[in-house]
Amino acid sequence: VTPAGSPWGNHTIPEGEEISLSFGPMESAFRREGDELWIRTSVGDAPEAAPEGADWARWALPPGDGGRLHLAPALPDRLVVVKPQVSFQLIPGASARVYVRVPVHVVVRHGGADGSLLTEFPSMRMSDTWWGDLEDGALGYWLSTHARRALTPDLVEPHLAICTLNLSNRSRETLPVEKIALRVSHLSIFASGEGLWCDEVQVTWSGGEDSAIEMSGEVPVEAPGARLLVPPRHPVDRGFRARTFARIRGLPGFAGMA
Amino acid sequence: MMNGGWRQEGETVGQEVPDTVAVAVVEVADTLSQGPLAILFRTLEGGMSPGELLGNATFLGVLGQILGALLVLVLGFPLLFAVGRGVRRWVGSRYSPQRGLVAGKVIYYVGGVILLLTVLGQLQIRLGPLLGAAGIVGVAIGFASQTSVSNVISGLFLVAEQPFRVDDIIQVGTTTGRVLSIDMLSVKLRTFDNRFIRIPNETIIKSEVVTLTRFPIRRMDLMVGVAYREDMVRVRKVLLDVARNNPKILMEPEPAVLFEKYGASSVDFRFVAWTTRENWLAALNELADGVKARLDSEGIEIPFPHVSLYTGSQSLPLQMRVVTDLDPSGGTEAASEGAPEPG
Repeated sequence: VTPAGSPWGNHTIPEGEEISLSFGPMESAFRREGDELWIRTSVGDAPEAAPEGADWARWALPPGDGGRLHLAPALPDRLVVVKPQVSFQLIPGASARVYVRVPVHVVVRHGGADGSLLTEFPSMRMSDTWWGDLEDGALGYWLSTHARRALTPDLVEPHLAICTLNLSNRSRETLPVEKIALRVSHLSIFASGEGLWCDEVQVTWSGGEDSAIEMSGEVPVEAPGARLLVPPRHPVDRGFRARTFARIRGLPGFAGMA
Repeated sequence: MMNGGWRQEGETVGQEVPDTVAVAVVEVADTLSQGPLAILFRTLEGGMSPGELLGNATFLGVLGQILGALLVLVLGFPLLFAVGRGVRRWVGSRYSPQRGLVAGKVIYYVGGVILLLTVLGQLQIRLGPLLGAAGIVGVAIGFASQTSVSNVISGLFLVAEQPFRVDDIIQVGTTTGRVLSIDMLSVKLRTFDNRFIRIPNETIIKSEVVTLTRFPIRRMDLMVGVAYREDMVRVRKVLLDVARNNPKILMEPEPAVLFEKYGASSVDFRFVAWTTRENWLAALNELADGVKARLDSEGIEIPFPHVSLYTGSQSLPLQMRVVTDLDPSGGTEAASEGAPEPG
């Protein structure tokens, strides 16, 4: 059974039945057998010939449980390094409004929104990357994107959260925007129709390594009437400073060949 | 304490050491003879009945002192161990296992000395003569245990320099393992086949130590050889594509394919890619599997030296055959077999 409408929210899995949900390229199946819940995830054309039970995960539920699940989107648990397919440069004093679509994770809870966490899986598997230098830094996800300057309705997809970035260059140098470190764990998710939105982010570069980052906490004007769906994983009261544009130091490519 | 009357005229200075030891022993014996233990034994040797002993104030006072000392020992050391363990866990979880280990040891040693001094004080044993004797004995033991002293000093350097920490994976010589503890005399490792290895601190200080888990990301090097007829640019693209399709391989630092050499039977490339230290082994295996599978599917040959073995009648000279289309029988081949003829 494939339920119609948004996949987010509560679902009840009847005894002995299986429901299928798609989150972008990620296919998922939920099945209840007695007091057990079975969940399977697979990307695109999963091997149908896989032996029964080989790729399922099982959870034992309390006796007489109704098989009620709650599915919610969540932004990735690490920073996302956004690589525009065509990099651009911000000349001194310039600003740019950029839209980045970030694949969300699917959080599965038992019972309801406050129930026990069963599992969390990405709607799209992104490659790992490193943000920092060779001695210190952070593991992140790599996201190659168009970094669009304008939105069209066809860009709205249920498994992609649209992050609106306002980039400003207040230095006297030209800022090459080759990669953007997006710290999504500080962002909320809003729902507007079928689409998911993050709160607007202001990134201001005044020279040097770090940039000033401010999370607005509010949905962008492009999504009027959007309601808060998920609060940030790691809330921050106000803005903070962090490296957002700088290239990795001390290496890339052949520099590390010694 | 060197008494002029103890040295005879004409004695060498070297004889001072046994004299000093004798003095220290006498002082220790004197100290012990005035303590509650000696008083207790003397009282018991006096032949008093149990009733008389219980009425003897000196006996009861001494007995109280000894019981007090025992109480300090019985309660103090378990408490000390409990506090040491607690501090080790707290510091270990809050800062690092290495700091927890050091903090726990400081608690053990300092607390142990305090407890010992308390017990000696309770037993009215003067420390001066004991420390003097201990110092002299220490010098003697020091000469006999230079290796141990060297290990202790090396251990101090290890703690101060911190070339590695508890839980790091290190390689010393041919031994690789996870650091279990860094102690006064040695470093304890657990190898990956679950053996326990003790390496003296002095050996560590003198050896080249590789800390495999010092930095968060590591590079993998894979040597890939392809046939001379292959397009090198295409090979590079295919290999980089393998890396980009493996989520464990970091997109940055970027993977690279570098020309290594024109080998005897292949063009050799060094394929380098980065991953996190936790994923290193899994990523290396996945990369090797992926490269082989992809080169096979792309029809790119991985050449390898061929060895042919001949025995007995098979080890005859190489046979050659001359082919001609002037064969009168209508065939396209025939002529002579065997070694080539000149001309």
